[in-house]
Amino acid sequence: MEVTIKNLSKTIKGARVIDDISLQLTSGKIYGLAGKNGSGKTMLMRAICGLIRPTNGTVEIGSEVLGKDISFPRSCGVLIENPAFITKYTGFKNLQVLASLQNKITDEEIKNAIKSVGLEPDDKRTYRKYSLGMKQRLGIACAIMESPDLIMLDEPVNALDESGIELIREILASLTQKGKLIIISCHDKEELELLSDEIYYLSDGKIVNHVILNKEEKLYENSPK
Amino acid sequence: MQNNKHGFLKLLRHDLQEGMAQNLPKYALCTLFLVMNISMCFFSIRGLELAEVPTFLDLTIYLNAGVQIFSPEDNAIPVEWLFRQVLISFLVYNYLTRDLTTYSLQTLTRIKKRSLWCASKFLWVVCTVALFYIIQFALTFAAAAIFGNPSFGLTLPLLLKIPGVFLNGADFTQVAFAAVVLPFAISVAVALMQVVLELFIKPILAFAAVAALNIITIYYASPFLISNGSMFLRSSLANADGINPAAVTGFLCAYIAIFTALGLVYFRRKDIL
Repeated sequence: MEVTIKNLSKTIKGARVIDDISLQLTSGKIYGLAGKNGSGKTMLMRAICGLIRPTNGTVEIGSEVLGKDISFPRSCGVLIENPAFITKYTGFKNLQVLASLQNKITDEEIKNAIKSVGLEPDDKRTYRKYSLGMKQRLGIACAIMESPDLIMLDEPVNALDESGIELIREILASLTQKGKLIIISCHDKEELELLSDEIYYLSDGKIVNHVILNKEEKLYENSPK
Repeated sequence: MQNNKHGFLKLLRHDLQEGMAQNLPKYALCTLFLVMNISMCFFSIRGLELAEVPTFLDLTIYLNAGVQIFSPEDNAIPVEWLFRQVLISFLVYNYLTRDLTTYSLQTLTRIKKRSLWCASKFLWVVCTVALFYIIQFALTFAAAAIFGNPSFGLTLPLLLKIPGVFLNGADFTQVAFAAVVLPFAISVAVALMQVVLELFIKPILAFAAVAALNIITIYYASPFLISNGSMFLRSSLANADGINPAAVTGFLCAYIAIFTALGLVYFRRKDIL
């Protein structure tokens, strides 16, 4: 799996939210997106998963151009901003309904995904009664349950306690070992450096810095693009 | 292809279940209004001396009679008809937009095709309007049963009591089409228009646009303003100067085709923010 972004720009109501971004992302790595609020991190994620259409440029997933050959990546899991589920269903029921759309995984696999994020699959509480942290965990379980090749997590550690954050680190490490391509954004610089193999810094919709992190020797920095 | 079909059917099932569940309080309001509306008709009919007991179709026509084509001297406003249109608009209000800004992120990236997502919402609109009419017809049928004639036939005595009606040689099929099928199809077309407008403008503005169209319809009798076709008194079957139901049918088919195509084409390029 390879994601190739070529000269991607997006203008919304006269504002340039993504400005001439070119990237090449390969599987087996975690890519971090960093930047202030409104720098374009979430918009870039939305563009990669096909939710917004580029004003200029292309997003290629493998050899297929998004918006031309395919509307959405063939295998992707997404958590962007706050997770949205049906409040009267339990966590399991919510994921079951969504999984049924693709019919790729069994109930057992859904339960395993819920367990992997530290939730109890047989919990009878409805989503309405979940704490913020539980909602976030369910959102992550939803993004990873079908074992997609491309995973995008916007602020995955939001609202999580220390044990939850540790769990997410382990999950991401294990997914990387399985060859998944993961893109995350996080406002906590230290956490992002800990989680990512490479970090792209965005400002005003542009990539202003690219850092490759060597997890054994810690980091060295590339010069800005 | 098989996966797409499976995913679409699952999404449609979800939309029908969730959409209907979310609409339960709105349906309760609609039912309350319809019970009041039909009860008022019931008691006014009981006060009439009719040679034959009215049927389901007679009552449906009486209920959906509306008013004659507007004239400044008469200046009658079809309040009940207008309220019914507002209720239908209220039923479809904001479901698509709310789903688009919340749950759709998960469904769209799984179903993979924007057109299937949109088609599921459009079918939800048809079913939502259909349920409103099912409730109306069930209550009307119950009223006919209380009168003692729960049949689908057409008798003239009640219809001839509606001021301005003369059945211009129309047969049962034509009358049944104009009184039962046409109002439902018109409501579907208008609701579809509202939902497609919600893709372009805020839901409240789409709701206001449809309400404005209904108000204009009260004053202008034209088959282009298709809601005219849901007032039986404006039909050429009941009024020599009325609008031909065939012309309304033509326009409503055009409305459905245009707004479905517009919605599908626009949604293919719409940014989901």
